[in-house]
Amino acid sequence: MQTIFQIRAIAVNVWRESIRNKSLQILTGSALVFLCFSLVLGEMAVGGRERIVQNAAFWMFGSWGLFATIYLGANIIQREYQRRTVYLILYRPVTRPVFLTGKLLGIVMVLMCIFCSLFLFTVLIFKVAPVQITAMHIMALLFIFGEWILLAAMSLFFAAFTSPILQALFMVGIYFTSHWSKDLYIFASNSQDILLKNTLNIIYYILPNLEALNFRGDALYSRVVPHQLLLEGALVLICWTAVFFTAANLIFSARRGV
Amino acid sequence: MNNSELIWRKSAFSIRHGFFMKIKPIVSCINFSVPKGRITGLVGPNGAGKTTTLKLGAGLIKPQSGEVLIRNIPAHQKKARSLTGFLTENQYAYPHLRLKEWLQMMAELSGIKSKKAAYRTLEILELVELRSLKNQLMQTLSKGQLQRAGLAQALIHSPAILLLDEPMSGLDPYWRLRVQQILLDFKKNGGTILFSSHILSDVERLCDSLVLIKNGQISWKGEISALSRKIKFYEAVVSKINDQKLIQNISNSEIELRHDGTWMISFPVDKKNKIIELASKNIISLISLKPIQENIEEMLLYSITDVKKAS
Repeated sequence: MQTIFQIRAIAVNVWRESIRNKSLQILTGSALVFLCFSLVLGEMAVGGRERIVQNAAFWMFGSWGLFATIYLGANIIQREYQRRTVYLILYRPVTRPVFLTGKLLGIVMVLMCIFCSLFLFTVLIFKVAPVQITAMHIMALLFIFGEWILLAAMSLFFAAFTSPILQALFMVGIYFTSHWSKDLYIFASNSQDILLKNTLNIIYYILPNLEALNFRGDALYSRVVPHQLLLEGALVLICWTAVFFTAANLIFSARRGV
Repeated sequence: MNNSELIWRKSAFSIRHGFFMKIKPIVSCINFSVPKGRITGLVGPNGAGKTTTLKLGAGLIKPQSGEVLIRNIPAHQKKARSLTGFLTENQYAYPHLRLKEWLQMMAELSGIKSKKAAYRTLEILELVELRSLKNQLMQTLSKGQLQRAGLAQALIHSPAILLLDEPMSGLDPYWRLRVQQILLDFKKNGGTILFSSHILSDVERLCDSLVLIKNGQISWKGEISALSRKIKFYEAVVSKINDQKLIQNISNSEIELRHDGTWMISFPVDKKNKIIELASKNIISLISLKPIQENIEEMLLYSITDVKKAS
């Protein structure tokens, strides 16, 4: 029971600390400005305005999630070390897994706030565009939020042993490579060079397949997605989040000191 | 040894640094104990390993060899950590949290339930006279206020042992006295304290025993009362001097005329008998004669610079 109270105390204060942070407020504000700008882009583009607005909204959700998780991961873990605020938590009867769980839940709470405000604004923009919001839109957005949680776990993992700059580089690199992992697999299948083939296959298997969580195209073209694909996506999401979070815990617990 | 709350037994800690990750020992073979209900001071020059010793005691780091025990439980274990309160030299607080929120979080992390934590927060804020600032963001607090907030977080869960790294740092004279009072009250209630400080007069005033650490090793430990102090010189107050020249020769500085018309003479230790002899011969009228001893700063300075080892 004490563990639950400790996790709650850490998570609530991560949330309080982050929502009062001006940088994060500016990041969220800029996403709202970008969403408004998508309406102007829609006017200028040759294609349908609705499609441009939807594309821009999905792109913004994907990218801003990456920015927010990089920022929160660096800010919440690395700055704990830099500011040494971690001392005053870890000298108490708080285990390192409890500390990291509290941090992850806190980040998820912050991400949920950002996501909800962006979602509400997106609904407003879609109304203006006008775009009919379908169940597939909701599904695609839920999977984007799932991707944010996976990125948050990945961010904690890198924050447990690297510097903020390296963490950002790894995150961006893995994010894009993971979205292209299917292409890597196809390229590996077509390649004649054994070394290249094996290397690409290894990269494909050791990186999370973020494309499995991408249903944006289906929402855009109102395609029905088979339940099996959604289930596979959910499985990828849960497994990779668990892998990154467990790895972050193992590394953080193995650190000799703080 | 039986009433020892904290024990460092041949504890060593080193870090790796530089491109080739060379091992740099921070403390080696630290051996001392802190008895229950007593205040022990940890003193030494910068970089001697005081903070690392305290961190080992707080269970923040594990010794690479030897052990650090709190009531016979390894200090890094959860059960041992629930017994200690730790104050860092600089206060590392979350800038966007309110003082009340920060302290309540610390109380909850120490196992105090939410409602009781809120009550205890107000109680401890009263003690450090910060109740009026409870809703202020931590980033708006001054250094002294942060230091008091730091002491509040160390005391909020009523620990049995306090580990304090420079607790008087950044405090004004009033708060230095208040903190001393708070620490003495803590001791009176059976609490045990280990603290490091550069302000040696505070150490002398508060501590029962002293541990002197130098280059990561303990160079002296013992009771404050066991420190033997050398007499530097004598000071005599005289009302009459019949042979000014003779006295001037004995004195090691200028003879000082005081506002009440008496004279103050300071003279070396080996001239004490001579002064008494002059007084008996009525060359001077001696009012008082007192030895001036080394203060704790001088004793430890000698010890640190190897000019003299404290006995």
